[in-house]
Amino acid sequence: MKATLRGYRGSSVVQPYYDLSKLLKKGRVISNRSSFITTIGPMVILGATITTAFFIPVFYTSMEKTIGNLFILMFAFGIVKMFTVLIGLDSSSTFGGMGSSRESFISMMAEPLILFLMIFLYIETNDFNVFHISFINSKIVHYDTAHLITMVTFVIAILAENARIPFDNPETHLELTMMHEAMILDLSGSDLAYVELSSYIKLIVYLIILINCFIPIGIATTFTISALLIGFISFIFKLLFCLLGIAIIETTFAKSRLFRGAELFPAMISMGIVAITLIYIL
Amino acid sequence: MLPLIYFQNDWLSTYFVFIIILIFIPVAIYTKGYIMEYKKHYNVNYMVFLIVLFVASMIGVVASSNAISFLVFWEIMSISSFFLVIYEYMHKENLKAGIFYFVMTHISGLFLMVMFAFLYKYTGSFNFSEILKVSVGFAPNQKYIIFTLALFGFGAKMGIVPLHAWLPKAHPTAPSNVSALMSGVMLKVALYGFIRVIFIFLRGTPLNCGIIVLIIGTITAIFSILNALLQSNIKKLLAYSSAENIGLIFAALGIAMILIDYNLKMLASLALTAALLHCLNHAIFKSLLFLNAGSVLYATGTKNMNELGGLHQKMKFTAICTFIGTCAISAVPPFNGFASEILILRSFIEAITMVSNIWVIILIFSCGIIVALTSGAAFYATVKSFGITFLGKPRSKKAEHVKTIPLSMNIGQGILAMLTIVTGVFSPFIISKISFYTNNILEINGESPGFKNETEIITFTLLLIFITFIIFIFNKINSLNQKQQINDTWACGYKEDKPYIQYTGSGFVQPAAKIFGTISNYNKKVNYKRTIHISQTTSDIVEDYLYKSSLKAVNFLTTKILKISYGKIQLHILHIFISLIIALVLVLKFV
Repeated sequence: MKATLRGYRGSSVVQPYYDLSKLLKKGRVISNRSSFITTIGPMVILGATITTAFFIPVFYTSMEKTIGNLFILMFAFGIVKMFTVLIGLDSSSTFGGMGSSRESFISMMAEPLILFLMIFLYIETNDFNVFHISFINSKIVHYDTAHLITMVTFVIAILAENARIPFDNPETHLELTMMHEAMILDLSGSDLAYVELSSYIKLIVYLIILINCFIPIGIATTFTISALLIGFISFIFKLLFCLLGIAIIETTFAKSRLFRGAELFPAMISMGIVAITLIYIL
Repeated sequence: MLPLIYFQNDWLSTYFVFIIILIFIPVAIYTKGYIMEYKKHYNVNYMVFLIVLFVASMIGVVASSNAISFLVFWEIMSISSFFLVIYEYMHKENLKAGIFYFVMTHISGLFLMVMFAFLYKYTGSFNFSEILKVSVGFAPNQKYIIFTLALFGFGAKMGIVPLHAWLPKAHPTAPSNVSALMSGVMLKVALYGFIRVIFIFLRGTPLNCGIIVLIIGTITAIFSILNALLQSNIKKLLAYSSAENIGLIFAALGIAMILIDYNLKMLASLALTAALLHCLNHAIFKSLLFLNAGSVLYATGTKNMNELGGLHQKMKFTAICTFIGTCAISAVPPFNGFASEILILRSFIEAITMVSNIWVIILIFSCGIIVALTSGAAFYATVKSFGITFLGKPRSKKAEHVKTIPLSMNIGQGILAMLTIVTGVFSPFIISKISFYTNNILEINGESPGFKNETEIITFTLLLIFITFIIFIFNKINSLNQKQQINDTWACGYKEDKPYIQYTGSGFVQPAAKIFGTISNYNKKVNYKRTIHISQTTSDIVEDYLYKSSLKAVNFLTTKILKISYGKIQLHILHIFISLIIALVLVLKFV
């Protein structure tokens, strides 16, 4: 999709999966300096991301669900962050340390945005459960300004947490621009495959949370075939739309300097304060 | 004849006695091995005696039901901890830090004495149960006075921001098992006092008090964690991080006080539960981390993390324990830190929706945002302290030649690490237990507030372990017919990878130093003298500006006073006479 925007024919959609299977077949090379973090880290990372995927609504939701607490979801990504950052420091290479340092810095700055998201959703729906939130929000017809502002904020947070442009360029291996890639530079074979796969899943999970919390319109709320079908189609459509949005952002923006990128967060927080005041004034 | 010591058994006391004993057992086991290091130069029996006295006096403080016995035990606690801080008395700097700590604890003791005197004046009794009966009818004025005195008195012991400066001085100098007790338990004892006075004696304070506590707590949290970020001394980092956690607990207490004032007792009970749970959790993981720092110190002889690295190869067990502690403190599920972190953030969020005043809402909102930033920074700081110390390659000779750690030290750390996991996974049960009693404290009749969906974490953990296990098996099968190589790390084409190509602790936090450097007075100097050196310094701005300037003022005043009284006996007698008259006038006029 990005390739089309840039004007050349890209590789096929299944190319990443092909890469993954190729990596799985390779043997792994471990640094003689690495510890238990590198041995078990990639597996725990993949396990944690798959687990979070079980805790979110995709195209069906109801009020009866008892799983899906937003806090646990957000803190579960903490496991992923923890292990990736430590893997970066583990192999005693310069790049790893650099990547970890930048990643922790960005995630530290992004933390308030996540909290703001939860505050807003709680004000709107009086609930912390993703299933309930999307159930309540699917009844909304008119989205007000505060809702849209928060959505933009969350998009920024998603870009930061998943190491996309303007915070990090996932495509290059140039030392000045890497964060996520730098941390996993010393992984190889199946380890690399696990971490890459988990980063794909993580992006999708974040996008699904975005879709189902902010634009859940059309999501199936009853367990009938027609509702599920509508939910499924609209979900695919919205997901493609979001991915298109990210592709547009990635092709039109350049990766900004680390500190320039970090300036976005205070800006977003002030937007957040505006949103909160809007709720109470309007 | 009246008995000297009064013990009580209400729930709050029992809870804190439980925390003290829970932490003391592993620390005591750890002490057995750790004490070997001191056998050469110092008297070991003296340390054991003081530790036992210290713990016993803390239990005394928490359990006493009378102002007098409370204060007596409080002083014993202060003094025994002072002697423990200066245990390594052969280093001159340790004595200096010890004296600083001594002065601060005495400021705290002074305020507490005045506070209990006021309570006596208002209620006519030193007994907690009788104070309780009368204190319902306190006027706001009286509440303000008691609140201010309690804030300074207990705050100086807890290390809230303007009074925190002793924490980063006393902790690095004290032996590690002592600092584990001091940070894990003694700070909680001060918090216990604060909770008892505010929530049980006063039963709610005017709105302003809650707002002050909230603001002070938030400032403490953000200020000390940003300072912690830039430290390269492990124990100093941990000391600042203790101050940060105290700030978080304090902010939660502030929320509870505000909510009590708005008569939203259900929510206040949630915030109070969050604070109490964080007391327990912080006690466990912080003493674990201090014990780990002690092990590192024992094995390598240095506290500077820029000299360490690669310790995971020779100290595997300690590395795993520290990893667990690090996960807990940076709120990674399923370790215990996240449970209380979630509750604290939740009480912030729910408070926003329930409070009616727009200014209070905006205040709570901004404090919540800062608290979230604090938790991000805590992640950054602790990852730094674990990653730089234990992972990578040794950065100096000290980190290469590592002494083996005695079994008893490992047992002590292991017990605390187990507790971290247990209290994390079973946090829902602990929460419901605590909330039952906080409801009692706040006099809510009826059910405990909605802690629904809290058991989700158990589901989550089980699923996580299950899926990871499946991936593990898949990995084993997949790698059966593949070869695994172990090689040196790629050093960008150079022949061998030198340890100094790694990031150091100071390099790791460089982005944060650039943005938040002013808060901890960060200075970087590059010296060009044949080779290039970088020297970096940080200092505590509160200490620099507040303490040193007040010392200067005192110095200035004393030189002025010296001019009046320079040793003539007649003048001294005149001074005594005048002050006597002033005192008499004051007594006659105001009492």
